[in-house]
Amino acid sequence: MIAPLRRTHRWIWIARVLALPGLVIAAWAVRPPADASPVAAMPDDARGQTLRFEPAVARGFLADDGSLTVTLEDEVPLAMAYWSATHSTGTKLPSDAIWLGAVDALAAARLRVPDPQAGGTIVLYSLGTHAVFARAASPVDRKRGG
Amino acid sequence: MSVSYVRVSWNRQKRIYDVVVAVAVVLVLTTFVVGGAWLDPRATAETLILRATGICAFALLHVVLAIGPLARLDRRFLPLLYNRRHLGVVTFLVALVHGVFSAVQFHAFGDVSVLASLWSSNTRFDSFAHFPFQQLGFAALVVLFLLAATSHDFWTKNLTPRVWKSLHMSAYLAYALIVAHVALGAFQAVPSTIAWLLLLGGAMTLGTLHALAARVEARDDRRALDAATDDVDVCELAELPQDRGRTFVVRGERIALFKHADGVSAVSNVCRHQHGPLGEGRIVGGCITCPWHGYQYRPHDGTSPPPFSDKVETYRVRIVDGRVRVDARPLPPGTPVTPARAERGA
Repeated sequence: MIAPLRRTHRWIWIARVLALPGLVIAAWAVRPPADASPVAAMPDDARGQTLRFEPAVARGFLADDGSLTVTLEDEVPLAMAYWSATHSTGTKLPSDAIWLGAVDALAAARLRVPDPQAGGTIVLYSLGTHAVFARAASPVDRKRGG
Repeated sequence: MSVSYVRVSWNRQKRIYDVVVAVAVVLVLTTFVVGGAWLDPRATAETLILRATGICAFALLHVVLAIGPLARLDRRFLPLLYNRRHLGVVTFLVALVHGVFSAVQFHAFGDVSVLASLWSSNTRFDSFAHFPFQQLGFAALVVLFLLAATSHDFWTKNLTPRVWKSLHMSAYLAYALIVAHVALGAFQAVPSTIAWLLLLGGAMTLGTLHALAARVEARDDRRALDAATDDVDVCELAELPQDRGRTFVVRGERIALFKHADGVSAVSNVCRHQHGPLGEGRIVGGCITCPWHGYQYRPHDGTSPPPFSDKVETYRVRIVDGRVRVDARPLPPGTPVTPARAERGA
């Protein structure tokens, strides 16, 4: 009565026993090397002046036309980049912060700063920890300061 | 059983079973969330829940799939089989939490719908190393939902046990999808060889258990009795245990023989509920009792006692010179047959 079901069941298991270990071993074989850096390289066409983040958990370039390229040195949960015309301290996001976009360690984010010549700060903020975790003054401000 | 929907009929065993499952799930989730936060202090609460529910659901599915062959190999596992469907529903619910947290964490903050984001964020179906593993998990979740939604006896009866059983074999498809989801997804960033060995070991353990259970089945099949006439000699009367079943394969069909207070009776080995093996059951309260879910049939007519009305095929049995002989032609389900008692051969 249930012989066809039992035959189907048997064939499913034979196929499964043969296929799944092979699948797992193949997936293990193609995994990225353990010592490979998960941090994305800065793209060759990244333009502008180097940003100096404090602390040095990110790298970036800001061009005169406002194009901003940022990548993180390590994963930070739900990291976002903001632009602030003021120079704040602490872990709270400045009240005038303008959201630029998401950033992470896997790929360089290409963003745009609204008015880089006016001076300001790139603020990196984690939505995961609800705290500012790095800042970089714009090159214009650095020149004024120097 | 009824074709109309009735809520789950709770009894003491089901309550104990479900309480044990709930406590175990909470303990596993708590252990992984707390342990994960200790090992990876930067992980967010969402990430910890995502990891804990993923591991818990995967472990539960292993248990669900292992119960069948374990119960076949050792009767002490039968109590686990009794409410296996509850465990399956819990597996789906934990997997659903994992799926919802994944969808929110990775696909809910964009300007397209979660499903559109899920199916468009990675379309590299031509690459093994970069295969869209999230879609595999989504497909597995859909299968688990179908199984959980049809786990009630209402569906067993309405879909018929054969269709229901075929549908629920897709649990193996869900398992394969989840193995691929884990191996091509989260594990790509796991350098630990132990984790990979656990994944491989889980798949191979399940395979081995099912192979061992299949060997037991094959042993029964090898004892298949073919006869030129309908009257088939199956065994010595003394070989039949009192009030316990024994299965014989006669002309390709499994027949369950029972020696009980009134004599010897034979019925189909296939329970009407979920095709459980009646021949591995016992006589309880004068009725043949299925080892899987306790469905009962009277030995002399293969009919469930009132108020139930399920019926299995019966067979004519004779005992001649201490040997049990069965007429290989099944009688229509529910046909009364007088239990056989020892008689002198002609």
